Parts: sequence; structure tokens; C-alpha cells
Amino acid sequence: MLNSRSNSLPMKLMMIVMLLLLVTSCAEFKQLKPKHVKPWDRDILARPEMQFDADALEDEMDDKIYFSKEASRGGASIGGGGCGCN
Amino acid sequence: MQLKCKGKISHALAAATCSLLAGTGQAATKDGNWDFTHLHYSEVDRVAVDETLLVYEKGKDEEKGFTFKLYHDTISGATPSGAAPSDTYTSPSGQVYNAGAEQHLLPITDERYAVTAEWSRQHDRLQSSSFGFSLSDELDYSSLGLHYSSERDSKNRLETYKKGFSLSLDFINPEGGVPTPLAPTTDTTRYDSEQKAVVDFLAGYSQVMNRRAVMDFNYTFSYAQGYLTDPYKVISVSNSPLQFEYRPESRASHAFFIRSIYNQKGGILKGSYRLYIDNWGVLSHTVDGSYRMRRAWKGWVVKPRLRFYLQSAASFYSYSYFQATPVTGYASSDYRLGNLATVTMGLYMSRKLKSKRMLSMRLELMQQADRAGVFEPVNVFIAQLSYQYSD
Repeated sequence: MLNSRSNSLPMKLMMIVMLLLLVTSCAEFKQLKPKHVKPWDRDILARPEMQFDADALEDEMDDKIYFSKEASRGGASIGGGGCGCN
Repeated sequence: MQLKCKGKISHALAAATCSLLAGTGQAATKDGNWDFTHLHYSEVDRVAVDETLLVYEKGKDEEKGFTFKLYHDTISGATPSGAAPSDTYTSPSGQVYNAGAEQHLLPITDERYAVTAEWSRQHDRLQSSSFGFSLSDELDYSSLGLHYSSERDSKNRLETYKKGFSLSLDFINPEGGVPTPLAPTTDTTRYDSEQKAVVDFLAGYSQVMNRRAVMDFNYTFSYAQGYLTDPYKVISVSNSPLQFEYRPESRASHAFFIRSIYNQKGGILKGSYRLYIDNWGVLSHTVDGSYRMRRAWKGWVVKPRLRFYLQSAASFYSYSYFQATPVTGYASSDYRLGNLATVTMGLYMSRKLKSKRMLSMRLELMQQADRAGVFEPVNVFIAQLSYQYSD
């Protein structure tokens, strides 16, 4: 029913399945056993393009675009919005 | 874990080492960095947005830092109102006809100014935090925001734990006043203004996987309370004038986000996935990937990018409401709450000019479509030009 105020059962089941998948993927990540990288071996990791905020200007504009044109928000950062675009 | 050069005299050696190791990286500066960017966003036969952003940043990655941003947006063109064309519905029995027809377009024009200021502090070798506020004003909308975040590295600096909080208070003053939800558009009753508040929480964890790879996990929770309806959107109903839409007064959402950066010999591979769910019934998946090629062409760095987005509709969404019974509950025909699929593909290019100056640009094509083909796809062109200067 279009006017229903609650989520449908299939939707809730889908959410639960996706959450289980996410938990599973996190568990697999743990098994990847991150290696202990010595300080003198961190030259590549220290490069600007290896930082998560390397493309901050593009990311900031993308947040605005997709916040305005899609029904999802959040993930990489918090805040944003502050406009009547959604 | 993010191996930025940290401040304080005791860390000067580490900072210098970082700069040397970075090779092509930017050196830490005391006088500040200036960044300028301009974005042009244009939907075919619909809305066009131009946004300019000026950023001043001082003391980045040092003991005390300050960042100031100034935004200016203009918007013009037309946006779907939610109303189906009047000559397409003749359904006293409630049956939907011409569901594929385009919605009416509503002319739109607006201008927005916004500023944000942020102060950051490196407490010691492992801990940092930042605090800031934002102000935004446009013809029919004003917003005040606050945010706080902090990061703590593990002793070996291979892991980082993050947390953050933000609050915004928004004031909605639509042209002509706020209509009564679900009232016919012929109803002239209007309210002066409405408000809403949004709080966001973030908890995150980053991990160095090996000498060439890092991963990042974030969980964000968002809760909005207040007037979440779009005062300009309407719905088409049977045997009645158009009605104003009506959305719930609260919204709680969860986003689970994972991303990684992997440095290969030829370039850098970036990928991310986000799972989003909320109590409006929206569930979405977002996959984003790019490959940054080093010196692909005459000193230019080239980065192709691909993004996929799939969204299920809000439980109260319908493209139209041609039904036998009157609409009495939440209802919206805003296509952004529908069964959306978005594909974005683009190319990013950057090049270092003289010392401490960099030019970058990107061109992207985006298409938004209804997964069941209810409306025609929306085609979008995105262009961005950026110039960065370190004093």
C-alpha cells in the first residue's frame, strides 16, 4: 500500500540479509591479517594521492550533487546539506 | 594511520621525512593554501547549477590549523513538480494510464551563499580533533550547522579510530508560504515558515593493510526531525485538483561505508561501497571506483571513474496517485524518492604547473533512470575546474 507508514516485510528481510553480508565481509577482512609495515617502508603510504582526502574538492561537490539527486546520505563523512536542494 | 606530516617542533623531523618520502607531495606550509573550484551541473532540458567554492587553509597537519570556505551557487531551469500531465489521466476506476509520461516541469531559480569555518588541533603525536560551523542562506532556505570530529592513531600508527558529530538547524521559507500537506493546490492557506533539525554521528576505523594498501570503514547514523516535506512538490490524484505532497516528520538513516586505496605500479586503484537504509523504506547500494594513472599524457595525471547507484523507493512514493480512494497518508511523487538507478562515468585530469600550483578538471556524464522505466531517463553533464595554490 502506497500510504503505508511502515516498511514492507520483504524490505526488512533485504536489510537483514545485507547487514549479514556486511558483517561477513568485515569478518573476512579481519582474516586478511594486515601486515605490520615498518616506518621506513611507508614511503608509498605517505604520498598525498594515498590519502582518503586526496580529491577533497571533487568529493565535496559530489556530496552535494548526490545528496540533491538521490535519497541517500552519509558514508564517507557527516554533515553536508544545508541547502533546500533536497 | 593516514601518514600526514604532523606538526610541533618535536615532529619536525617526521614532517620533513614525510615530505621527502612523498616525492611529488605538497610540502607543509605556514602561510596557507588557496583552492578554487567551479562546478557546472546541467540536466538536459531541466535544471542547471553553477557552484563556486573558495577555500583558504592554514596550518594544515600542523599543531593548529584553520580552514575557511566560501560558497556561491546559482540554480536555474526547471524541475519536475510531481504532477503528471493533466491530459494523461482518465481513471475513475483507479487505473493508471500513461504512467510513462513526463511530469510537469516547475520553473526554478535561486541563489545561495554559504560559509564554513573550521579549527583543527593536533593534541599530540597520535590525536587530533576539529570543530567548525557553517552558515547558508538562499532565497527560501537558511541553515546553521555545527560539527566536531576527532581521530586517534594506534601507537604504531597503522590504525586510526574516528568519531564525529554534526548538527544543523534549517529554516524553510518557501515563496508564497508553506502549504498545508495534502491540501488541494487551490487552497490558499499558507504558513509563514517551517524548521527542521538534523543530527549526524560517525564512527570509523582505518587500517593499513600492507605497504601499498589502506582500508577505511565508516558507520554513520542520521536523524532528521521537523518539516521534511518539499513545499513545491505536488501529486496527481483522480477526479480532484492537484494536492501538495506530504512526507513523514522524522527520518532515521544508517550508512555502512567501506573504501580502499591500492597503489599499483602503474597507478592507484580506489574503490568504495556504501549500504544505506532508512525508516522511509529507502535502501540503496553505491559502488564507486577510479583508477589514477600516473603521467598518462605529457605530465597529466588521468583518472577514469565509474559510479553505480541503486535505490528502492520510499514506502509512500508513487509516480502518480490515480486511485479510487482519496490520498490521506504520506504521499510524494518526487522521482528522487523512487526506484532509482544512477550511472556516472567520467574522466579526471590534473597537472602540476609551477611549484606549488596545480590545475585539475573533470568531465562526467550521469544518467538517472527509473528501474521499471516509469519515466524517461534524466541525462546530466558535469564539469569541474579546480586550481590549487600553496603559498
